[in-house]
Formats: sequence, structure tokens, C-alpha cells
Amino acid sequence: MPAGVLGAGFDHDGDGDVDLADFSDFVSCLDGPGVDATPECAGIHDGDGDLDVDLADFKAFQRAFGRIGAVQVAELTFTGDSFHAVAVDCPSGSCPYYGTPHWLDQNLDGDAEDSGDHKYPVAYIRNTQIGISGLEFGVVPADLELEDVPVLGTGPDGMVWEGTGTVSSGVLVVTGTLTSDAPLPNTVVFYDTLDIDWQVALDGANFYPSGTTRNPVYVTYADPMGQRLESYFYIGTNAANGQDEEQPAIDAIWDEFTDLYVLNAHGEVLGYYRDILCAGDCTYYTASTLVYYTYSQCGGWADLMIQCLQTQGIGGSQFITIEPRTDGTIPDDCGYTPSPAAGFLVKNYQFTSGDPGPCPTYPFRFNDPCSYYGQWPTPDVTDLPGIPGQDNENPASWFARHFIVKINLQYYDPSYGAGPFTGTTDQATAAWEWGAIAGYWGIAESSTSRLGVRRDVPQIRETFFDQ
Amino acid sequence: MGIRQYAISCGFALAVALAAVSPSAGIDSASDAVAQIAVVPRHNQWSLIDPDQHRALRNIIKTPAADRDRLIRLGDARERGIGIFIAEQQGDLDLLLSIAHLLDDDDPTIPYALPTAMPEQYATQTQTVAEYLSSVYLEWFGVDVDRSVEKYEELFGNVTDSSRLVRPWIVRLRRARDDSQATAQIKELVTQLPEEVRWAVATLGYYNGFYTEPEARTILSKLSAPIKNAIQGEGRLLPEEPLFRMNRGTYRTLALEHCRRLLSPSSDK
Repeated sequence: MPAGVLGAGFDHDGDGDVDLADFSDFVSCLDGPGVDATPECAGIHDGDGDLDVDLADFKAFQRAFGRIGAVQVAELTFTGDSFHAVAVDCPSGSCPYYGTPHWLDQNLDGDAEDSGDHKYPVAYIRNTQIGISGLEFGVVPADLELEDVPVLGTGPDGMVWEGTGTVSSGVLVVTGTLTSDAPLPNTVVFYDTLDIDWQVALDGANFYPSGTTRNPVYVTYADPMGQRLESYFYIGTNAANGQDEEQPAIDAIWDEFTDLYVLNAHGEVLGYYRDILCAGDCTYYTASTLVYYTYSQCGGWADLMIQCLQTQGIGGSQFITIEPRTDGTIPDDCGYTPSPAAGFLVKNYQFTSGDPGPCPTYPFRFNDPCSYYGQWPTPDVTDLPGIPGQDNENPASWFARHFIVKINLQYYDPSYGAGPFTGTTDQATAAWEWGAIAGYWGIAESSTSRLGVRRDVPQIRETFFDQ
Repeated sequence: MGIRQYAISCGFALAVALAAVSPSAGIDSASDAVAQIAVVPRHNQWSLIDPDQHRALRNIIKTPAADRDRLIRLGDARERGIGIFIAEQQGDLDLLLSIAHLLDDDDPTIPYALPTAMPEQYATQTQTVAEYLSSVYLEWFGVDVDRSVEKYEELFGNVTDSSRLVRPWIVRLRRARDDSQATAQIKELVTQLPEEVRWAVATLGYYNGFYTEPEARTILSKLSAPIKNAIQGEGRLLPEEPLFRMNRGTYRTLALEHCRRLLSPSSDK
């Protein structure tokens, strides 16, 4: 058993202290290095966990000798001026926040993994102090009645929490809120678990290990905004770990999207459309549905990047819609005026016919993959493996519109991990268009609503970035 | 179905408001208006649906200020949302800045639509009054107040004159971009702005595609020497704007860098 767990740690007779009675039992177990101890001996006297009882364990015994009781941390709640609750990933717009206490070890076995236990994630802003309230320990023997018992917690990066509490009825309740003497690092930090080693001095002077709490802690660049789902914190903080300036933090978070391999807080890979070829069959459009169901349309990916930035307190990013122009730049199609339908094909597509189609504006006959419009018996356009998207080598590629993100005058396309596209809006649009677009579709035959495609990407801005 | 049911339930009060706009407006128009508001996307997708193509929307955004204010002040949660929609469409920033207390209003109001990648398809999403007002602030001022009055006060505390905010001028230019006359009028107003606001509007307007480079250079060339010197130096030149306060260094740095480039001699011959 780990040191500090009630009943363990050299307390052979289980009376909460370590005294001569326990020393007698220790000596009977002392078989030397490399000799497998019996389960009974190992469970109580193998202080270093190497399955024997030797002189190394005797040193630990000496340190524990005189302890008047055993203490194990049971629960705590994070607090403080820069504390931010983290919301549970869920597909709706109003996901619940993780409750309190944030650490709960009901059976006092040293972890928060058992039924009824939990360890919830929390978030803080960098360079601020962590407060801890509601700190309680289990104590044996249960008949101890003590006041002003010193409590000490030691965390990473020089953070220490000190306080005192009262022991009664087998519980040590620490008074008030303990605030770390040192602040968090002045950078974004991803603590997979922020381990705090607790020690308690029941006798008022000698501290003994009393367990370790291990909560995921996300330390953000600035004051978190938006929905604050766990996966938004996880992605952003993990990516921007160590950053202390805004633009490098943005760059680092963007890098997370460029390898087309993004994980949510539960270790699941997030995808762009996944195995869905018809965009209309994918009914997930938001970041919350993306991290919950693990795939979405492009709108969910653009939203995810914005949300990841917002949980870092980085605002000002914009959700940008890209649509074909309908302002007369493109000639009217051969169906309706004004054009009721228009969209684009994302690379790659094969154009196989030299035979002019029925519509000069959209000369290549095209069947949309989902029979949303009329279908030609012999189309001229074939979908080929093309630009890979997030966790998807060949995602859906027939769209009416697309969604990207604009940050500080730069354009990012999270669905494909492409960008940033820089320059003026026109320049950025052209760069995106040349990189991504195989052609533009519109109605080529009004009586049947069949589609045609313009293959060439013209030297003009043909898409329209809504801002 | 959900939208339609809602439209009927709050049609009466809205019809009263609409009646003040047009003799032909009535319950049907009110229902249409609510249904059409519900498909107006929020965030940065405001202009996807042109109110001119929706008769009921065209009517409702002409609602007189008194009726609009009554909807916000006395209406139920859905009517408060409609009032916010009208104020937002009318660009009445002073009103929007006077109703920040509604950031505490968690009652459900008019839904909004998310455009999808598919033609003509939108996904209806629910929202509270606070969420809707937050999205309106995001649209006009570029910052997320996160349904928090406290956050709003932190970001907007020093704002005393909404006409001196840079971001709303960019929004006005964007909304007017298909109307050359309206665009020209806004650009004329920009030339009358105080210098410390004008340079930022011209710079960000150029990088958002609303000014040509010669237009932006012309505006910037007319700045006074002290302002130009401040742009070239390290002085605090950006207006006390929520967007710049929230984004701290980055937006400030980018705006100044881009402006310095526009102030430098053009490489074009």
C-alpha cells in the first residue's frame, strides 16, 4: 500500500501509531535485500515498494517511529481569484461544470479511482496563486481530538500550501482557504496532474506523509472565455504549454491543428466528416458536438479553434464563412437568375470530357455525390483522393460553403490544417482558393437541376470571405 | 416546427410594434419576422441573409425606437431578443451599450441558425438572452463578454463615446459593402473622425478589404506630424477600445506595423 494510507506504513497493529509494538513485527519481517517478503510483511513494512524488507525499509521505519496516528487526504476543493471551473464535454450549448470537491477519495485508499471517488479538472490563469478549501483528511485512531494540527502541501514549481486544522471523530478538517505561497509559472502550463504531496503533523511538530492529490490543472494564458469545455482547455493548454506571449500561443495552438491529428481530453482522435461522404449526412456543426461525438463538419472545426483560443483568454478570432460570389463576378449560370445554387469542389477531381456540356458557364457535367440535385447519366467529373482533412485522408469535398477562422488579419483553415493565409483579404482569399479549389459548381440545366462545374480557378477572387 | 410555434406565441406584441411601421403589417408579418430572425445566423455570419430579401425583416428593422425599447424593457424573453435584434440591425450602439444588465438574463429567447456546408441548410440552435446579447457585442465590438456583466464592465468601463470605437466602423463598412453610396457615406464620416481613431479605421479597413491601398495611404498621409510620429514610435496610440484591451499586445502591434508600412513610400511604380 502507498505510504500514508490509513493502516499501512509500519502500523502493524493498526492502532494509528508506530511504536515499539510495531517495531517487534518489523524485526520479524526483516529478511534482507532481495528476499521476497510475505504479503503480510510487504503490505506493512516494505516502505520502498521493492518487495523485500531490508535496511532501506528500516530507515523509513525510523522516520515513521513515534507517529501518533495515520492520516490520509480525503477531499479538497480548488478556489482562488483566478480559479475557473471546467465544464464537462457535452454536445449541447449549456454543458454542466464539474462540481466540488475536486478531489474525493472516499475509501481513503490513496487514489481517486474507485467507485464514489473522483478527480476533476480545474483551470487557473498563469502567474496567479492556487487556493485550496474544504481540505479534509481521514485520521486513525478515530478517538483523537486535536487542535491546531499543522498541514503542509508541496506542489510543483515551488508551490507550498500551509495551514492548520482540527481533528475530531476521525476527520481532520483544515481551517479556511490555503493559498499557495508561490504563484503558478508565468506561462501556459498543462499539468496532466498537478500532484500535491500532503503532510500532517499530528503531534504538532513532526510531519508525516498523508497522501497525494492529483488533479488535472490547465493554466491558461489569460482569463478564459466562452463555453470552457474540458477538451477546449486540454487542446489549447497542451499545445501552448510554456508560452508567455499571445502570438506564440496562437501559433502553438494552430500547430496542433496542422498535423491533422487532434485529440480531445479523453484521448479520442477528432475527425473531419470521418467516413461520411455526403456533407448533409453529418449533422454536427459545433465545437461541442465535435469534441463529444469526435467528428463534425467544417463549422465545428472552425468553432473548435476559436473555442480553444477563447479558453486561453485570447479573443478577437472570427468565424469566417467562405461562399462563391453571387455579386455578378461569375456569369449567371444556365439555370436560374439570380443563381439559386452555387458551391465549390475541394481538390482533387478528375475532369474527363472534352465534350462541351450544355452550359457554357459550367461546362463539365457533375453529379453531386448525394443526389441533392439532378443526376447526369454520364458525368464528366470524378472525385479523386485529394486534400486530407483532420483524421481523414479523403473527406467530403462537395460544399456550398466553408468555414475558417480569422485571427489578427490572418486566415486559418482548421478542417484541413491549412494556413495561415496572410495579406489583405483579397490576397488571403486567393491563396486559399488556389490551394484548395478544384472547381465551382452551379446549375447547368434548369429543367433537371443538374449541375455543372467550372474547372479553372480564375485570376480573380471568386470566393467571398464573409467577415 | 419549433420556430413556427414560437412565432405564434409572441406574435401579438410584435404585431403591435410592426403596426407602427406599416399599415399592412400584422400578425402574419410578425410571425414571419420571428421565423426569419430565427434563421439569421449570429457571430460573424450576420450578413448571410439579406433583410431586403425578407419583407418581414425589412419591416421589423424599421421599428421606431420607442416600440423597440418597449420590447426590450417590457417584453418577455423572446420579445427582448427581438428588440435586441432590431437594435443590432439598426446599429444603435448607444442602446446596446445601455442594456448590458441583460447579460444576466438566462431566459431562452429567439433561436439562431448555424449555416452548414450544405446548400440552403441551416441548423437551429437555442440561446438565452444573455448569450444573444453576448454575440451581438462580439459582432459589433469584437470581444466576448461571456454573458458576464462584470466582464462587460471590465472591457467597456472606459467607453464614453461609441462613435470613437474602431471596430464598429469596420462592421459598418462590411455591412455597406454592397451599397456603393452607403460605403461612400461611411468613408466620408471616417475622414471626420479624430486622428487617433481615423488612422486605425483606415489601417484595419484596408486589411479587411474595405479600403484600397491608395485610399488608405491617402487617409494616412493627411495625419498630423505628431500622430505620425506616435505611430512610428512606441507611444500608446490605439484608442481605449475593448478589442485592443482584450487582445493586448498583438492587435496593437499588428495595427501599428501595418500602418507603418502604409505610411512608408509605396514600392509600386
